[in-house]
Amino acid sequence: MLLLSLAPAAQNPSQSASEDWTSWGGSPGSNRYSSLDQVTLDNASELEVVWRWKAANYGPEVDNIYRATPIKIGDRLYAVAGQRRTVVCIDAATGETLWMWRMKDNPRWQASTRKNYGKGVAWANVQGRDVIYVITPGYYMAALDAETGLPLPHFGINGIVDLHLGLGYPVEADTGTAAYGDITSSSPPIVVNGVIVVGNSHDRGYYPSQKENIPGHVRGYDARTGNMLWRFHVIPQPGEFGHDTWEDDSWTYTGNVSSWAPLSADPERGLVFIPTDTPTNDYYGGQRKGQNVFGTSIIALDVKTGKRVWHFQFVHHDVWNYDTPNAPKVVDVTMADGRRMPMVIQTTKQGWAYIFNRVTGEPVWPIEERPVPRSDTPGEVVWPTQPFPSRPAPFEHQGITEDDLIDYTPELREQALELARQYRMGPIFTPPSLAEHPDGTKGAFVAPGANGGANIPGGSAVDPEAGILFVATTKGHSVISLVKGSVRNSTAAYVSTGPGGIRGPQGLPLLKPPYSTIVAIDLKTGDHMWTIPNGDTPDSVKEHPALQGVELPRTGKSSHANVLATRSVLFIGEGRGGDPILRAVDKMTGEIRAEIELPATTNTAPMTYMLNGRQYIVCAIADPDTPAEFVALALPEE
Amino acid sequence: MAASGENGLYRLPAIIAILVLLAAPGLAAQDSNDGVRSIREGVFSEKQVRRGRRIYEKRCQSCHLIEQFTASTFLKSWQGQPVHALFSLVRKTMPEDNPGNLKRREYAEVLAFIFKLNKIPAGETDMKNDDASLKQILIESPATEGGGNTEID
Repeated sequence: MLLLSLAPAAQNPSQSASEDWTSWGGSPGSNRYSSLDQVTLDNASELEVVWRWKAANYGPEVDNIYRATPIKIGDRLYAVAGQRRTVVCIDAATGETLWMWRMKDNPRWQASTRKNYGKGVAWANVQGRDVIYVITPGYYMAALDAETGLPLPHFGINGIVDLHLGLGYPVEADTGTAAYGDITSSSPPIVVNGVIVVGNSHDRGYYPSQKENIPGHVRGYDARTGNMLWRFHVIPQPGEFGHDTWEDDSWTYTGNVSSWAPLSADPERGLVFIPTDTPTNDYYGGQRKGQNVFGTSIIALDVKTGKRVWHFQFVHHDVWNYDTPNAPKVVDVTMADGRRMPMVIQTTKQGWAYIFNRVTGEPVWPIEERPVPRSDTPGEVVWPTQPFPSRPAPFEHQGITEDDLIDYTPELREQALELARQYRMGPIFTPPSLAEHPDGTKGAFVAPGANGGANIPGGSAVDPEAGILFVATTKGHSVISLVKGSVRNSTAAYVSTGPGGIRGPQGLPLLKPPYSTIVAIDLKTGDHMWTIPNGDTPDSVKEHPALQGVELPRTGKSSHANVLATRSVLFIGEGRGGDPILRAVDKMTGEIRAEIELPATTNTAPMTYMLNGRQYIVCAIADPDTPAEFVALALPEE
Repeated sequence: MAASGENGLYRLPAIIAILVLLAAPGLAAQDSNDGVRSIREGVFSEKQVRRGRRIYEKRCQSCHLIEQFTASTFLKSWQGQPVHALFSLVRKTMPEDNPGNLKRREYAEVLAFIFKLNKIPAGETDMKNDDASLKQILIESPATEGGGNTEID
């Protein structure tokens, strides 16, 4: 087999050790990339399912969705499954269950709003022993012996650390709630240079029952003992940087700003990258005036001390639910002008990839503050400007005008206009508006919407050798209609009626296609290389009576593709809402070279590893008719 | 069975055949398995509405303001489309934490509850939840402007 080296083999923290997959995103840099190339564009069509591991019954309710990506160390996979977020150890060659561990039932588990949202576990080798770390839905952290699955007695108390302790916030020990909110977790921690960095999550924020919530402060713990080492305040306290961006004492009651997505790191430099979400109340900020630092930001922390090295706020005073939904990507790229750039890349719901020098925090290409529309919702004061990256160009359609509406036939266009004109249309960062505005409108379009852009299941992958970013993105829209919070006895002055969009004419999508795509971006120049639709046109569109005789482009499905990059192939799972297909695609051109049928749709990021000379690709799959499972694919043995 | 000479009975089969043909469209309209109907024709039962309310309160209410489904824009946006389209969408995407987890029966019951809230009257028989049956029922807005009952009583 001829191995082509596309770049000098430099020290690159983003490359995974070639046979393992040591963290959720493959490596601490979370690039969802592997240098394995046993599976190629020429032989990928021969991939077959070699084992299936059933995840359905790890909890009182069967899971018809599976959000987890396993890690692989040695000859084993480690993952989470089910409502309990049970930690499982699976034989990586055969799919046999080797051990499982779960926390016993407790009131905090019962109260958790993110039970089956677990994405995985973390691993570290601590003084010669492989340790698996998990954060439970009840917001406990366990350290397990990777060999046996037993909690390590010297870690915390009998292997468990109560993450409510040291949060800096009074929380009901039994239920995990406070008079003002909840806190939980949905992602694994990350272990960097002997420090476990712990984020958190909350309940959905678009329909809050109150303006108050627990802030998602980030903590660092000793990987051997479980002792808390530091705490970083994502909502700055008096005297801390950014405190004055919370007017009228809103810092005393506002919460969220949680880092619910997986974290990433540059271990050589001792940096950890924290993506944060919207402050409390996704769509109304009248009770938290100001820029709201560090909401909707990336924060680079010194992993040893928890001190901020730099940060960037993607959206000031976020009222669009543009929480940072996936792990920042760490990669070194030799630019077109010859500079070697240590990058960190954040792909987002709003449709931009923000790219920084991860050492200094300087944007690689200029990001400009530009004026954006004002809000006329009572009490709301949106920030007058927002950051607009100059390069790369947005990978997703932003904003909505009448030109974006479906227009296959004049009749459909007329119907679409009638539907859309009930709501405010405008460019990106058009603010949410009232459900019953005196001007007759019923709310405002937010585009990309809550499920749009590069989101949780899609996200992106980076090929560090070729210097290419692959973004899985969905063209979505939300219609945000604000009503008084009193409709649900909320202390929030206004809440949205929900994050959904509106149905298009005769059930067709409201917007023109493509409905979802994969976009390849050349990191050396910031140029887009190619864009392909994610899958074929849905049957509901192809066979629609109103479209008979109309020539349709390949529209793709309205689903988030799930991407995995290797040295030889870009793998694309069509994703939940699409067809149960995994594609092998040429990274340089976007050409589809193989389509492998799966028992059900991929749900989240696939992974790959090598064991005993065989490359495996593992996908989490599930749908309403197929309970959650992992499927492992490999080439037939010669 | 044609026979001649017996009081004209030889004509009976033909007459019966004609009567059956004339009656057939009427029969089809009354048979709950054939023919396309509107949701306004009493296509779901009160029992389904009751069960649907309980499911809604347990699995939907914490994230959804009921106004989302009772504002006049909601049913209007599904005007003329088969219940199957709404059923499939909800089944594929909801509840958000575990989409597809409810039984088909339960998804049908939640829809019955929402239709009832939109002042669509219940009927005597249950709405079947198989794909073929759901494709035979079309969504129609209530005739009056101003939509549904916003109270869950």
